[in-house]
Amino acid sequence: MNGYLTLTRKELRESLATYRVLIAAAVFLIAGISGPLLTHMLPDLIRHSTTGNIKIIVGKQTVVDAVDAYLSNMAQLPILAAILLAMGAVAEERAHGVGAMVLSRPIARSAYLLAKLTGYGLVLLGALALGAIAAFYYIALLFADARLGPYLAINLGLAVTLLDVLAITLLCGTLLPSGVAAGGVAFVLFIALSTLPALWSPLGDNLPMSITGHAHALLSGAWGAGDLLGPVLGGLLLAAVCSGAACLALARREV
Amino acid sequence: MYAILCQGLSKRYANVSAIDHLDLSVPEGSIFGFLGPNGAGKSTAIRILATLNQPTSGDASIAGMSVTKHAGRVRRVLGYLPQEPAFPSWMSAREFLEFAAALSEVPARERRPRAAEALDLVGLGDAATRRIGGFSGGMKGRLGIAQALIHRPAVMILDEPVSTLDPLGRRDVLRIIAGLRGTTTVFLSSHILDDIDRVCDQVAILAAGRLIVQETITRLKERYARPTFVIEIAEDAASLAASLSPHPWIASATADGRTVRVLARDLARAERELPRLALAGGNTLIRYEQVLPSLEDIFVRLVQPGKEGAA
Repeated sequence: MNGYLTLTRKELRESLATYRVLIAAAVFLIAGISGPLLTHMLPDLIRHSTTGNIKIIVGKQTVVDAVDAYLSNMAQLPILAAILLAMGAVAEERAHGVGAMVLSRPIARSAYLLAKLTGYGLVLLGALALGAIAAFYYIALLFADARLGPYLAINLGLAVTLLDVLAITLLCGTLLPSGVAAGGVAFVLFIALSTLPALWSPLGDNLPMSITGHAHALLSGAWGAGDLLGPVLGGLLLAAVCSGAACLALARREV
Repeated sequence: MYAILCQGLSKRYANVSAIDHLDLSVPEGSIFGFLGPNGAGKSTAIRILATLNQPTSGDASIAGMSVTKHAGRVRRVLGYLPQEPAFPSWMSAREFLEFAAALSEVPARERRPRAAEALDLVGLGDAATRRIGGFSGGMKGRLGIAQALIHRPAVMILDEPVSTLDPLGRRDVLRIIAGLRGTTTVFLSSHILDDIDRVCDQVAILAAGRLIVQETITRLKERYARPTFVIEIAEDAASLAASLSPHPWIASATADGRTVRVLARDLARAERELPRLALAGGNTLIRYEQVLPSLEDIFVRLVQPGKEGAA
């Protein structure tokens, strides 16, 4: 694919030069470690914040609570950050004339788009890895019975979810005229996809968002590696379909 | 041999015809001016030639290759500067040119020397390592030219390359463009008709999506030349212009301060009678001159036939 490597290198260098890497790393790191840390501190925090005759009893926090908190955090702010970081990637470049100067050169339009998917994907997955490793360090340090296998499975679900969010955002950026519109529509689509597992399980169970919904089952061993196959493949298929649609849309789009 | 050839090129958006059966032929090695008022369809035509848009019907070729059927090959021989170029502000000028060279398949070992050569050519050699984000509008304009010629294209398409530049920047960029004559075909659109007059060999004038004329500037002036006289008097020129206008051998008489610009329909009569009429009301004559029409006179006459001579 003509231009793919050059464009990918440019995306990665741009991520460093514009502090995109730093922002993503900070967001994922804070979201990641705050879950287990706050879970561990929760009984003390509540004990110190109650006064007089009011007594709130909080049970002993376990590794399941810590992973739950981690998951809950990672499914919110980092997803929003991913949309915010990627929403202008195509739409703004197209609107501001950078796209015209690049696309009038002998490169494949699909290379332009896939380089963005790769560049942003590597930044987001790297940030997720950083947040996940830091969070697991505290989980293992503060809670008994921390198991790496189910934790990796949950993060696999998060990684595929991030790829889906990124592919949807890039598709919206290709179809819509501005970055803000692309980000807004991508966010609405992500919310719709996140509610699918609860609304229609045959489809929803094969989306990566369902993995995070089965965190307890994964931690207790009720869900195994085989159960992950459907959601992971479903998520990768969704990312591939969105990326393919974005490539087709950009190939036909006037710049 | 033509570097650019358009045959029946048309582009429609819903019910609006942006370009209507445009036929153009741009000779190799020439500097070609593409003129037209706002909304004439210049940028639409340019984006089709730059392989960024598709025509509704008709076709165009660059260096003998169809822009619709062989877009990839066309892009290898084409340098393009969009109307409002934007650059990655975090890159240095040299990095950006090396990036552009890589995208245009310039071999890796040649990219840095080519970038240095292009920066020197546009007068940015000293700013090679500076971030583009800190560049002035003029520097960005020159960098835009440099990126369009980094891969030594056979054809360069420049959409309003000097519109954002100050007079010095314009002069420099026009000098660069003029220096490409004979080696690179330059297809240039601009609103600044003096610039076109200064550097272009040929022009095409477009109005409402249709080609009005394509001609060398010299022939255009010969063909559309109308005898023009400038009369400067010591008094206010409004009453003199008003007294000249009704004569049937005068196309128009326009006052500007103490000067009247007269466009004649009948040259012989104008030469015979104008000096006498200029002095008729007891005016004090300061200057009486027959002048050549400017490209602007011709442009206004062609795109606004009802207002000829008004400019």
